Amino acid sequence: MMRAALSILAFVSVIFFPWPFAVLLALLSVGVEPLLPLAVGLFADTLYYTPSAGTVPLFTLFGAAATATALFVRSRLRASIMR
Amino acid sequence: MKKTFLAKRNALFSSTDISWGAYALIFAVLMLCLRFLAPNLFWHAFAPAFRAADALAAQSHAFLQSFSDAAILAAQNEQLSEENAALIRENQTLLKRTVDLEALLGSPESASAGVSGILAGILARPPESPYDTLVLAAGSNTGVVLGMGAFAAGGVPIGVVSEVTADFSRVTLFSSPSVRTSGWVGQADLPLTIIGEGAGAMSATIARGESVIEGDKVFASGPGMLPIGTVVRIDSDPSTPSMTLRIMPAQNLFSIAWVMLRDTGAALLP
Repeated sequence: MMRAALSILAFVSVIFFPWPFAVLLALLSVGVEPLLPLAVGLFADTLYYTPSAGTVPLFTLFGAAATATALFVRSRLRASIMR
Repeated sequence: MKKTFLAKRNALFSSTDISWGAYALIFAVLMLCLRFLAPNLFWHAFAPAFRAADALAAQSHAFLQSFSDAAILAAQNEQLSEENAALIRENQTLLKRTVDLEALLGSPESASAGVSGILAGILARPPESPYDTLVLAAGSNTGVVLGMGAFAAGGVPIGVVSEVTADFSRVTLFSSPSVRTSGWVGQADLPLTIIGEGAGAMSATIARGESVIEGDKVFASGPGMLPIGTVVRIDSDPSTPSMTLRIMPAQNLFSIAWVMLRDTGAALLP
């Protein structure tokens, strides 16, 4: 339930709150939902990115980087020895 | 003999069900597809959410103001200051235009043709919009076309229309990162290229020897020369032949609710 609330709040914050708050929520959630930063970044760029405003969609890229980092860390934490 | 295997490691999906993050990602991808395939429908779907966000912000602002008379007076003072600043800018624009035309024609001018435009409400603005863009509730159905200039109160140019759907459009502000705008600064009308820095800020680089001081007005082209900001700081390094001007926009981009869209001829540029 907590994960669902966090996911929904992160998406809502993209529209209702200043973008640093959405970034903060996405980063806070990365531990429990690694895909959320990428999803929130993609959603923010879907709403606000325009090619004339920058060469690359930064929020998607940073979200993807956060997700990749979280997945890597989780995979290391879950690693177990061979039996 | 003992069988050897690797422990299952799957960070994307849990063993029983798809995670909420995966649902969120699927939703985001669907929204992206919707925006590309049916942009007008996309903005129609999200316009109520943006309006609700605006209303929420306004109500929370009013709620906080209601706690004390000092807060109300401060808000009134802020509003009057903004109106005063808008009138001053408008006056500067008119004065500049008069001076320019007098220099050209040798007589006062009375025409102010070509100032009609399209009034558009703003659905999303910074800081919600991280790229210094505005989402407007006016599109090609109301006559908005790519390249139109967006003007705030007092005729201050703030950006250019960069995307248009049937009922909505998007304006890229001059303060948007890496956006370049030609302009002038100071009493001597020194030409310079204004570069967007994000978060409503702009900068420009000029030669060190030029006579620019803090407080000088910065102008951009429009119908004539229009004030878009003020030099608030000059960064000068003795080891370089240039200095950087930090420019504060003339209009608070975080609080504007309406813009006027006019065709400035920018679309004719290559």
